[in-house]
Amino acid sequence: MSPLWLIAGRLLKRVLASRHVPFLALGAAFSFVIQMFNIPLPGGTSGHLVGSTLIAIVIGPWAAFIAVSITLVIQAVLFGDGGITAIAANSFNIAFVMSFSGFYMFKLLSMRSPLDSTWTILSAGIAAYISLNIAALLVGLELGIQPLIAHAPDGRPLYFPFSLHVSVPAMILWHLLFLGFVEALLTGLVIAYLRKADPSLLGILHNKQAKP
Amino acid sequence: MNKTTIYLWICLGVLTALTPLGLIAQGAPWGEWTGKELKEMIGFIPEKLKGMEQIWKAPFPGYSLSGAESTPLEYIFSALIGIAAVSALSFIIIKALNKNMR
Repeated sequence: MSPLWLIAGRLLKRVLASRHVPFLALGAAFSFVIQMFNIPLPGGTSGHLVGSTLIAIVIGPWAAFIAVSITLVIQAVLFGDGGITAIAANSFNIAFVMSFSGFYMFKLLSMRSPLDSTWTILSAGIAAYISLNIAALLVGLELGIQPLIAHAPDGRPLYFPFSLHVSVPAMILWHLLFLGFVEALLTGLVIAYLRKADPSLLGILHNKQAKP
Repeated sequence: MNKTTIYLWICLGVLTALTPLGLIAQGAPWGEWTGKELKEMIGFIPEKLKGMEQIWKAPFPGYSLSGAESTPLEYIFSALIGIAAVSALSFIIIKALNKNMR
């Protein structure tokens, strides 16, 4: 995980336009606050949004990766949320993979449409939906393989006790049915606002796209 | 800071005031249980997870000041501390990068 953070740091200087610098803090703060909205889910659990795709569309995936990683570090260190030992895995899933999958999905979908089209907003929403679910699936897979790779000779799990056929559906179901749509709505709304208020903030993306 | 940025920080402030809504949910996110919760579910705490909760004492565990269940005010206070901390860390990282890359 740390090599990824180092690469991100190196690239950040180059890819983070000066007008986006305050947005690293804003992005991290935004992700921190929306993750505090625990949404009750059937079955006695809860879920939360992340915001990585939205942040990645605005400041680019490397910067979003750093911003959401900062959030995860502060959550674990100050609030015991997520956990010190889980920072790397969490950062990989919801900071790294979600930022990059969301960003490139958005680019792919909105490639041929002008910034002011409705499709651009829909693309952002679809990218947010899919990337949140990719991240949730990864969490399910990583947790579910634990009993396979780490168990005592008598078969008792040493770390995580539930196997893949439990962990994957548990992680993915409510992200597919509900949380993904909320993440999509939030992402679409904020992108629509930014496009109207200050399109230059989204320029980093579309300037690049405008080139042949 | 331009107008849009200021407006976005204001929106974040409004969201912060609303964070206590996040306390309505009772259960932990799937997989994020405490040792106690895990014991209630499967009857034991997996060997290597024992003691893991003790390796780090967070100053505001569970977004509360006392360590007990977070109250709405404590939750908002935690959000403010969190926002300040992530902003500070962001600016430190940007400062460090600027210094190294010059």
